[in-house]
Amino acid sequence: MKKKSNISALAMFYTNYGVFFILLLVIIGASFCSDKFLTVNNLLGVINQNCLTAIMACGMTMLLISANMDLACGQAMVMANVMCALVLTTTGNVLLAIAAAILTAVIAETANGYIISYLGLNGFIATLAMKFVFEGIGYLLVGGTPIYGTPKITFLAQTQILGVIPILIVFMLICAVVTHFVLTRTSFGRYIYAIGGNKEAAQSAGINVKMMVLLNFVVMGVFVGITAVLYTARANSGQPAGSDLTFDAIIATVLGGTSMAGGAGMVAGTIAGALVVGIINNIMNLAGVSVYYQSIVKGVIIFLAILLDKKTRDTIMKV
Amino acid sequence: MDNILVMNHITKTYPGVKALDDVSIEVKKGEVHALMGENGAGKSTLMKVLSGIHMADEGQVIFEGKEVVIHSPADALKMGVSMIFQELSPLLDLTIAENIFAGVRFPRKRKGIVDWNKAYEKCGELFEKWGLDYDPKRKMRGLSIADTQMIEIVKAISFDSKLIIMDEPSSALTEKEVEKLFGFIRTLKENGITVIIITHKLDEVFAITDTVTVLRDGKYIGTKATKEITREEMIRMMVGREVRSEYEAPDYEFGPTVLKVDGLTLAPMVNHVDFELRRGEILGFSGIVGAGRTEAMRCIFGLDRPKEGNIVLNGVHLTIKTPRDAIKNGIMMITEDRKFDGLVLCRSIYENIVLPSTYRNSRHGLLDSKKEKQIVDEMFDYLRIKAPSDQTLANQLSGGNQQKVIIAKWLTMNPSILIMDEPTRGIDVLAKSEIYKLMRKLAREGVSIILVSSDMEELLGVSDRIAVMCQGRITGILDRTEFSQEKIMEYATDEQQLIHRAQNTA
Repeated sequence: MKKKSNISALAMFYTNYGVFFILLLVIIGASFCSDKFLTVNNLLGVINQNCLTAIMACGMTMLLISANMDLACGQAMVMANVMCALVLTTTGNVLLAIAAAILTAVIAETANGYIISYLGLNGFIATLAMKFVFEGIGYLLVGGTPIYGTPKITFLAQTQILGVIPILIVFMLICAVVTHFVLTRTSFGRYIYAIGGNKEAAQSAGINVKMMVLLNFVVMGVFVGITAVLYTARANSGQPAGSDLTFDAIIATVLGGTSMAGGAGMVAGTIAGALVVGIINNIMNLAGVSVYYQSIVKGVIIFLAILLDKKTRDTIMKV
Repeated sequence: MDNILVMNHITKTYPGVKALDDVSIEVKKGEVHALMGENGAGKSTLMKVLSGIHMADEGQVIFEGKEVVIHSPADALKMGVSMIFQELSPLLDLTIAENIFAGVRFPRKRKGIVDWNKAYEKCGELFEKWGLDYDPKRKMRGLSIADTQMIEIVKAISFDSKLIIMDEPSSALTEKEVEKLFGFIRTLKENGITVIIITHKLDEVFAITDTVTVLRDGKYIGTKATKEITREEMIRMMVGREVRSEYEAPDYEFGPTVLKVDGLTLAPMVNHVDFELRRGEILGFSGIVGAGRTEAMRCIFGLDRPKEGNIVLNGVHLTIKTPRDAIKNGIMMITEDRKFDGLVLCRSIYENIVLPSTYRNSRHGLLDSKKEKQIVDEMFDYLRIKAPSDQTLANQLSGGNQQKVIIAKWLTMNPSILIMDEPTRGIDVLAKSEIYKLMRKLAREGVSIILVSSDMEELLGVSDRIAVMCQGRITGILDRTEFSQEKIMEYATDEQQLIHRAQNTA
């Protein structure tokens, strides 16, 4: 019978640090599966591969903390990616292209934020609807044909610092540090934890909840915009049929210990979560597992992450 | 008489807290047994162990002479133990009968189809047998807390419960409702059902119980027959030292009128509420539950928007659309339900205390943790908040400490008007008297306080004036010299007064 209080402490420990153990386990497991895994090149490659997911997940972490959800961010990113490539190929100005991409993403996410915050619609359904809107706009911008060749911007993804470290990793670290700072050291961070924890109490404490939620989406827009720019740089193209990172970002965030119920979460966990997903994908690729199986594995991981989130949360809150 | 229940050496530990430390208790068959103690004394925890919600770490439970192991509420129910919680959660959109049979006990026809006629019939019989007058087909929504509680008790009886535990059953009831409840408890007793009441109210212990057991800080202190114990003795057992729960009368002059509320209306609960509040004054609000007191206060704090009426603060007409507007003007409110909109339960005490003052303590949106830490430390000392650390999550605190955190939260904002809605509900004697002292202290320093309370003793003791509401109107305002329970009850229920006033305003 003595176990129960220990379980509660364990649950607390898991939500805070569990993902790092999972990361360790996955690394150990992966190194047994393939001797190619633990090479510097492969490791940097894996991290590099998942930088975009991780950056998007930084924004997602903030949204989930305030108990919000965005299923449209992946398509908003694709739309901004197309916009970036379009502006770059027509004007040839890199700065203008970056600005256009970020602005597009911010407008898109502000629309999401307004709908959820001021019109009071359910975030899941509303952003699911917006996802289709963004997808359509992405295609319309370029008449359905991808723009190939945006060489002017590729330096943002393909440079290597000191000749070894991919620049994307640096961008990812900067985004993570900024997110961590915002969450822990700013009043905005304090507010979104409070809003996610108890919206009514936050409101009664004088917080402008609607404005903060809107702001939260605007910040998400910035992260989506950055992701879009880097995506353009890495893919050397603008693709209206580009990959939707929404679920990768959500898995990384939830796996990283951020609660779907809001009120708790850390960005370090999110980054670790992104790496766990990345490594599992990597090892499946190295081991030659078919993409169909990979899809199933991904689904199961989301399921397990959410289940663990719920169980640990219940244990902690039930005193 | 035989013991129906013996709990031996029960111990229960949470991280950092020993909630129950070797507690033993004996309850005789057919008695009404009071379980008393301060907040965090372990009363609820002990009963939750008995009713299968918590598992004890160690200890033995003997029910009707047999040692039992209770793993879940279902086990407890099967055994004949039901618990009526302080906060009830009925299925609002289902009928009374459905609530009573909720679960797997609906009368059925063949093939598992519910026999509705029989269900309503059986439910009606139950009510008849116990002398209650409810329509089984009525929906739960709109029933008062008192009625909901009654139905909860009937539900417990329908399980053939031999022991019914009630956690603070009177905390949200008016005096009349309490009387009705007590009448019902006596009926239960006559029918051989044992009742354990968890309570803070000494009056209730003397009014209804046969035996009283006191816990303190998770330890067993003693059991006495109610007839053989005095008030003072009981308080001493509960707090471990002498407490004078004397109320302090104001020893200073009130300042000028600071708040003037004029014609505040939000149908149907608030009708033309007018009152004035002076600087340093504690204005009590009395009335039966549903008289519109909370609703009027919600309008003043911006949680609801009144249809009509003026709120004038220091001669300035205010437009309050949200709590944010109220707070900006120095009007703050400790709401009735601390879990609903008082605390962010999954965040730390620290964050809860500094939440409203975050913008004040930050520069350009950056937090000043040094300054915040200092504020939190001051509040810990000032209000004597009991917790392992300021990083403890708010949901791990006892009710009294949670309330202190909420008070601390507002004190950091230097309120000029503090509305306290049932501030001592579910709080122990010691914490209560601390809160009363604090109220007077704040008032002396120039804070004007509105106290909405259903606890008559508290209202009469703490308030400088008492406004009585009935059906959304203020039917009378009494000065300290005119205070009497009878007068308040008269205003709270007086229909003539209402008609008279309605004619005057028309």
